[in-house]
Amino acid sequence: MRGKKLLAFLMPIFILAGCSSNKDSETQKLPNSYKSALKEAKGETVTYYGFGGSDTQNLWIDKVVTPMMKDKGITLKRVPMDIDTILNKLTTEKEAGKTSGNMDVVWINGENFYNAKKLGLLAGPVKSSLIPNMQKYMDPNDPDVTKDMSTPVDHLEIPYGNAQLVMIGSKSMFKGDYPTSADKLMTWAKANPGKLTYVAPPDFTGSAFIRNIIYETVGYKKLNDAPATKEGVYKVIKPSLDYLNEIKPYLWQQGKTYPKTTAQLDKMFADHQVAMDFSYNQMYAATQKQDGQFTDDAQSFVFDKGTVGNFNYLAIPKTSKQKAAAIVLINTMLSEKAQTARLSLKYGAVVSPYSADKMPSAMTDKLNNSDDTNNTVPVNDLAKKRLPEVSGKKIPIIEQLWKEHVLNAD
Amino acid sequence: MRRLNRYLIFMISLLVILMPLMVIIVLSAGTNWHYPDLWPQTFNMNYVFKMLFSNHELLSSLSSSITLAIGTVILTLVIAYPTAIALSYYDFKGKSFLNVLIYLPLIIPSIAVLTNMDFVMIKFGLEGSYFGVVAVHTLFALPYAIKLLVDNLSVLKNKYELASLNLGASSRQTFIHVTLPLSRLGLQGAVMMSYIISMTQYLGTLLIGNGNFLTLSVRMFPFTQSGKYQIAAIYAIMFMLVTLIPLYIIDVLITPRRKEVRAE
Repeated sequence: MRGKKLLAFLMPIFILAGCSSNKDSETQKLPNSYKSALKEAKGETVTYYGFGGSDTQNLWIDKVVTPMMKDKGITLKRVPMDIDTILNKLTTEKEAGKTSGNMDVVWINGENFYNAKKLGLLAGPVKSSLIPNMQKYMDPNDPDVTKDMSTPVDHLEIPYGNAQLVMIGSKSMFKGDYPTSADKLMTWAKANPGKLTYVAPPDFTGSAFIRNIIYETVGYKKLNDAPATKEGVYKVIKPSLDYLNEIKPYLWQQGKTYPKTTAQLDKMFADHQVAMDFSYNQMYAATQKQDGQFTDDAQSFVFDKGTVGNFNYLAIPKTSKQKAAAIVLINTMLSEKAQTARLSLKYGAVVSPYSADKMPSAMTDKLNNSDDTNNTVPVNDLAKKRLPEVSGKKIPIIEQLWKEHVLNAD
Repeated sequence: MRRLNRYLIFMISLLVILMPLMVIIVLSAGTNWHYPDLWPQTFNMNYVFKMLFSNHELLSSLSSSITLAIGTVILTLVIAYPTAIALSYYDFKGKSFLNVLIYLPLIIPSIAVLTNMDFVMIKFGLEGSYFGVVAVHTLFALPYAIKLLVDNLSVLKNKYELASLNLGASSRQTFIHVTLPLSRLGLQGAVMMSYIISMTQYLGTLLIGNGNFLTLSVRMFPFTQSGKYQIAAIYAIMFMLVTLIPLYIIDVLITPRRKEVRAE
């Protein structure tokens, strides 16, 4: 009787264990050429995994990329998953020994790429010869093509979007005189206490602003040369932490608390509680205006010495079952047609990752002609004032130091 | 005076419960809502209706939410009901241990549970399958369902079942005509709770569903995170509708019986 009961208890486990026998087939290989990829991918379904909280980017994929893929006989499925969950999932799959998964193309960059590369989660090499549009519009020696936040790309990811930190100031609150340097910012803050703040890291934008302050106070080179250890970075960025502490009492809530998300800061800026907002999207003021969140009062500007810029990328996980279709998807997303459409406000106005000298003139014109109406900075000025990112390894260290020495200083 | 007090308390609780709902509704329709304005400057219901009825994404995620929820309710009851009967009617070795074990999914941080569940599901080849996701939802619904059923069953214990068996009814007859009617309220609570739990699961659906189940919560969460409050609010309204309407139906179906119970 006892034994029977125990067996009944264990039965489900046996049943479940039985299911595990269907071993996954060998990992699929990357195609040899774009032509063969096109042929192989016909009739397949390819998945795109990426952050789904931007309705304009979702719309771009659904209304522009999906039909273009359909013409090639491929179905595109968009799954809204943030990169942390994606990496979490890919790591678990790897630990469980799964060789084929559901993710075909993922949206990735920076620290996350560094981790994914270290853990060997990505398929490669995806040479530019496989992606005709990359060959056509991107310079292989472009720093953003070869390195992602100083991690060598090694053909494991393909540039997808161009991002650069811009400041968005309120015309009425700054009276047309925007603080285009750290010193000017400090002076303004002291004269107008409580009217500035930034998003607390590890938020992307807040973290970028702090790096920008480091560039202003000690310079990019020093930070880049510093060893990627806590002591090493601390020694170098001490003046920057001092700066942030000096400005702290003049910030919103005396710098005791900070907004947690960009959404929060956007809202505070729109409500004129603070005079300045930040964004990684160069055209953010314009898209927010289109959305009815900001008014004409919001004007973009950058620091005279420049602001941090980086790229975001597309990568193919090793476990992808549809590598051929993934290649076709990446090439389609990088096509001139898709990238030009992506510049319009309803699709989020994302600047293409094309190299400046290879960018089609129609695209450059479109970008430059709309500065006034869009309250953005001309694209050439942005390119001139673009500063590189530091190593993905140093970013969490800087964030940690900020937390210890600025947030919890007293 | 006492009546007035009671009325006041009722009004305050009503306000506390309904205020957030009001905010969601205003958020969904209001454009240009800026601090410190009490109301948005303009209302635009068109956008809400357009989103609600023409957005195929919303509708497809709705159907996957509901199919998962129905599966979860069934699986939860299949496990929770016998467990609850055992816990409230019988004494056995390890009963107190089982009592604690039930709450484990709520005590351990869900990200830890889910990452490991994902691992197990991959090993069993259930990742991305309907059963896999339902099993994960059930895991989180079980504590609530069992607690509700145990509370309900413990009130009368198995006295009536014993009487029925003593009078010559078979155990099947006893179950159908005595146990089931007596635990109707507990079952109703368990069904409602597991339905809601399943509807609100985000990370579990995303991880174990492997992109195959894009439910309402999976679609809604990124929007709330990135401050697209209007879209998130529209999803939230849809969410409330599909949660409240079935609950209301269940409630209406049970109500006549409830009167009988009260009369006792």
